[in-house]
Amino acid sequence: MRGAEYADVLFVLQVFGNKADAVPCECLRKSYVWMNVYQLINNSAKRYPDHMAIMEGDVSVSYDSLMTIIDAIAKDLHEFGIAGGHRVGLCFPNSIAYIAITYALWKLDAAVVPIDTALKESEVAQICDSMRITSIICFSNTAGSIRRQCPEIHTLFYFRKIQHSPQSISSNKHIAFVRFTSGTTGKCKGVVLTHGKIIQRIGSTNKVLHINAKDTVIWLLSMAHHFVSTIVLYLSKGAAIILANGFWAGSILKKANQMKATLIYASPFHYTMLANDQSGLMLPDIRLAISTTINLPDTVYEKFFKRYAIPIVQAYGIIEIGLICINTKNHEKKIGSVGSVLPDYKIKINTVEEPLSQDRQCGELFFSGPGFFDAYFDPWIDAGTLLNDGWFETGDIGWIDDDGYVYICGRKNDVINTAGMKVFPQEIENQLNRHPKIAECCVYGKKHDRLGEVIAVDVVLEKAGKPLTETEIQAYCRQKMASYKVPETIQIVGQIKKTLVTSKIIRRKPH
Amino acid sequence: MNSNFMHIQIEEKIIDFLKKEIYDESIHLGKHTNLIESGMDSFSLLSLLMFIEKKFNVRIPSEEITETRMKSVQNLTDLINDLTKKK
Repeated sequence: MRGAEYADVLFVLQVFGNKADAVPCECLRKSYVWMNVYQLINNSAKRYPDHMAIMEGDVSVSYDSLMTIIDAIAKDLHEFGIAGGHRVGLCFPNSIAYIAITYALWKLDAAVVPIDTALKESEVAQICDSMRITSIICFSNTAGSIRRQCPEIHTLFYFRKIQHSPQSISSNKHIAFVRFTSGTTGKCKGVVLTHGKIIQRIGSTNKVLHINAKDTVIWLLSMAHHFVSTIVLYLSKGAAIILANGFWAGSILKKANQMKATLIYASPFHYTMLANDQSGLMLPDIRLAISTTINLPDTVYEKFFKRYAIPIVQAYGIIEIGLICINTKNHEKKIGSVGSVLPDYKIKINTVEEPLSQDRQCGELFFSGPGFFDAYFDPWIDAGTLLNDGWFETGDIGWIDDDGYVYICGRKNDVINTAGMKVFPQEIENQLNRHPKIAECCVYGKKHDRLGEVIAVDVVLEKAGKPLTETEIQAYCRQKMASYKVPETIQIVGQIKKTLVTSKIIRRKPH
Repeated sequence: MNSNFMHIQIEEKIIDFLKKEIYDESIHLGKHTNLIESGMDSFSLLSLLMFIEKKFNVRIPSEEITETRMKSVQNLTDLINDLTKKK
């Protein structure tokens, strides 16, 4: 670190309440502004060298061992030419290696661009192009890759250069993370998070979760979609992470009991399976069972509580702003709520300009607070220009009860949430419209009790030539896009309904 | 004989789906293959459940989504037959 030790900076943050401008000492202010997330795990390793950090199957690593792995990978990647400002794609399954590679890249001041392993080649290429990725690290060998092996855990990874030099976007930002999401045009846009924002974000989250070195977390979700407010937080506090070996209730319960797990972080589907378990095994050490990705059905909450006498805590988060509401109190009386907003944040509902419902003053939710994203990557737009006086427009519709508990009703715009994966209809439409026999199409979400929503599409075919069948359209989709984006229902129609004035597609609402 | 034939047909359809959508086509997948140990993730399982419900016109209750019922193609076929008989 430049100018100060990490502990000094933590003290400064506590005294000055995370306000960099208030810090009197120039060197500490510089250190505060440039704090690397790598330093947090390094600090955990100094404090708890022998604590277990991560377990994957039967293999576990202590914090000390994890740092050895991270530093060895960083050395390798440095020799490959990775340096500050590079954007590196990481296409890897949940593993100790995934976490180690991420921190190794952060040590080198490179930005990590997570790439879901479910994505097809063309989708990966689109991300690499949009994010101007300089190199990619994968779990499988591809042409031009260099193979390396992690020390101690022996996991293989493959490194491949894509561009010879990084195209600098903004030289004064230490970007840690670029999480891509589809834009309203269907084009990838990356949510940029700097190290400083990540550190602010996890600090705020932990005022509610109180993660500490005595915690052991059962991890069930994809790291490509959940990492910052979770994995980074847990490792910054010396907690242990158990990467669940499979998602079946039996194996989760056995592991939770064996390792005395104190937290579960999972989706409603996982909780459904746990609720249905008939082994008789309990979860005696769990202090928090957090549910995220999609809305938790009341029936799942009730069944799980009946089985384990543990309330499931709903959490609500968006990649741009972090985990913003967590229902840690009053969950029994506020079933269905995502909780009150975290102490460092503020919430407002826009019911003045666009009242969307007469019932319970539903409106669009806006939040303000620390740790919000820094920019969208492509095209580069600073968050400051998008946040209206610091307020982030979520696009989610909800209401707040008299006790300040937030309830989410749905989305304002068209994004489809299928099992926690956010899919913009336009992205799928763009792909379908490239088919020579498809004239136009309309993608929309349909309600589904397990997935939240599933994807449906109405297709208008070109008149000429032999008509496509639904099966052929689905096969085309499977070839071109990740499986979670493939429409579940395909209907060939005569026309797509559009608005009269703008000819904008009128999407069906989920029913 | 007729029910055996239908049993085989169901198994073949499930194996075909698994090979095309979940696993690599090169992987050997038989009716007794342990799907739990074959690396299926939770989203793949959801895809499989949706395929079964749509293809065989059944509704799988959440309490039937267990390791035992989902362990192999044969077990899944037994589940489908049980659900069909209940209708």
